[in-house]
Amino acid sequence: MFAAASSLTTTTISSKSSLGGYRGKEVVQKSRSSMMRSTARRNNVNVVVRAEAQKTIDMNESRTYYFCIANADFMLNDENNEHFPEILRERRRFYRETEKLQDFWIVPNPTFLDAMPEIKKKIRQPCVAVMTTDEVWNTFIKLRMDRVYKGSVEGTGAELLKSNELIAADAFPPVDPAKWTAPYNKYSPGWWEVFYPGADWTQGYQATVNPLAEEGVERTGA
Amino acid sequence: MASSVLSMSLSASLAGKSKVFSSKTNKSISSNRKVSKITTTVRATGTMVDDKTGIKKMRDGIKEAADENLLTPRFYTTDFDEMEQLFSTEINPNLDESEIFSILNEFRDDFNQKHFVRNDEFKAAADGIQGEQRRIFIEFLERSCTAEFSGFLLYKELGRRLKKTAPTVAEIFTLMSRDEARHAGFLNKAMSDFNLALDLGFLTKNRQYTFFKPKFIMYATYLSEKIGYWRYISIYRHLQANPDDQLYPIFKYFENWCQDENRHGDFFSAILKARPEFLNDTEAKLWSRFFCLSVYVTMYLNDHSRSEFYESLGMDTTKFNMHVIHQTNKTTATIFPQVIDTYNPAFKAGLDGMLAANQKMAAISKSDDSDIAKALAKAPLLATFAAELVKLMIMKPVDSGSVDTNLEDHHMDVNDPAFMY
Repeated sequence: MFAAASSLTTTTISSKSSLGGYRGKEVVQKSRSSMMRSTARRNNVNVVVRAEAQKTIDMNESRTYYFCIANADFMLNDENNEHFPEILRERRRFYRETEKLQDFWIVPNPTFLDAMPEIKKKIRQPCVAVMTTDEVWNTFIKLRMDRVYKGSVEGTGAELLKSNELIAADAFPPVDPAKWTAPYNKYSPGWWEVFYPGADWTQGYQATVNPLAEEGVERTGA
Repeated sequence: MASSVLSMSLSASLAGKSKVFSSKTNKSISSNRKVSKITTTVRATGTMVDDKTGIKKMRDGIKEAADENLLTPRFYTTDFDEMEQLFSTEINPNLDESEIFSILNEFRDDFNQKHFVRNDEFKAAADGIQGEQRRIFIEFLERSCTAEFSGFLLYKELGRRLKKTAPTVAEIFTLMSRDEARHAGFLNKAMSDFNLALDLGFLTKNRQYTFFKPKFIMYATYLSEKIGYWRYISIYRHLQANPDDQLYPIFKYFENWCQDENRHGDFFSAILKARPEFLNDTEAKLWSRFFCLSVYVTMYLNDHSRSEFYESLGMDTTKFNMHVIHQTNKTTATIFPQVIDTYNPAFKAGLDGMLAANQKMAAISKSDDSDIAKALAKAPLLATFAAELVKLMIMKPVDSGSVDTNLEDHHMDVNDPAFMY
């Protein structure tokens, strides 16, 4: 346990906008827990953290969504691709710090792909897409991941971010200790769920850039 | 660049085309250099030795830089005119800059702007590290700092020189030098916790610079950034799971830190993809393997010559190194046209053969024999070392590359699990 308490004691962000409603172009996403409230006792100080649910871009506005898509195992389970959750978490932290609206998601088995049989044929199933309205960032994801198919599709977030089926946390076989040679454990399966559309990525989020903050929460996806 | 930029040193001495030269500034101050050396020698025999570790100091609180050898981190320079030719948008109007621009955007976001902030834990932790452990800690910090600073100097100069002709690439180099300066500064502050900072201005003027042609800079820096990522993330994640081994708080910063390294590597991927002539012929394949091998071998020898350091963090040096090598090699396979088959048992056997020869040579160097006797004793070991290296170089390689540039070359099948979409 590190010096988390000091950075948390004063972090009381109260909700100012009406949850679930419009505020200009900003839409507050409805999610399982639109308000996170946690109370913890550290160093004999009662800490109350209230974080507003992450705001997204307007899901009803029609625009271009860019995606990189590949086999689910490659995207979510490959040992060599564990930098992928790292950059997603880093970006989430950055969006929080700069108060940017969420414009990227992990979408397993996207329904829009059904209308693109030629592309779907190329992708081993089940598959996972990273979707965003940020074309430049999508190009970066292609550069980083390489073995992914890059494309774009027009429509609203409400239509395009739908999945035929999610990827369960236990979808991949457990790590065989005899074959696992890394000097650390794999990121907890299911780390991707917080990036699903509709999930609240403020859950478990530590509003601090201090790496000495509480272990495990923001940084491991555990 | 992370600590493993030092890996390039071996390449520098083995790549036939590279040469070591002193820049003009070096020449103009070479006389000063002699003077300072003499002064240091005099001082070293006097009081300017750190009382806790016996490390030589240039002056109070400033460590004398370690001697340069085959395996120490180096400073690099390149052919700036050729770099300009390669990435000038005037000369190459059809240069595909979309991926280059995408990585520039990541650098502009500057995810780690507020990351490198120290706290009170550092000094206290440094005071708690004593004896032999203190010496190897300082050595680790110095090597890391020198490597990061080396990246800073090279990138900064490239940013300056390419500004007019290749503005996108130049801005990226400048932003990468920003990251390297942060990293080097953070490490140097850490050294001052041990009362032994480096005089980076002095280093800039006095160290020898190794010349690499642009394409070698691209291969070598790509690898050193990516291996740097894998080293730092592995140490970070190991210590996260084993907080009792966290001797000094700097490692807690490694997760965000190494994302910078990883992005720097992505940039070299992007420029290599923009100039596919560096990726698609036999010569490119040969150099790809050569740089992979020299970077892996250098890390293996370096880390094993200071195993105590990794052991003090609760790590097994060999396991840690092999993990980093396998992962770096897989990552590199997404861009280089050929990589090493690191899972071939002959690869590990070759590394261990070189390690044994290197350790024997180090023991001879330390002995009291005459220089001639030492050279004679080392000759057969050097031959063994070279033979092992050649064996690995001609070992059956793995064809690889980006799906964007090498898919057709290698008749890669997207249904092949090794090549999945």
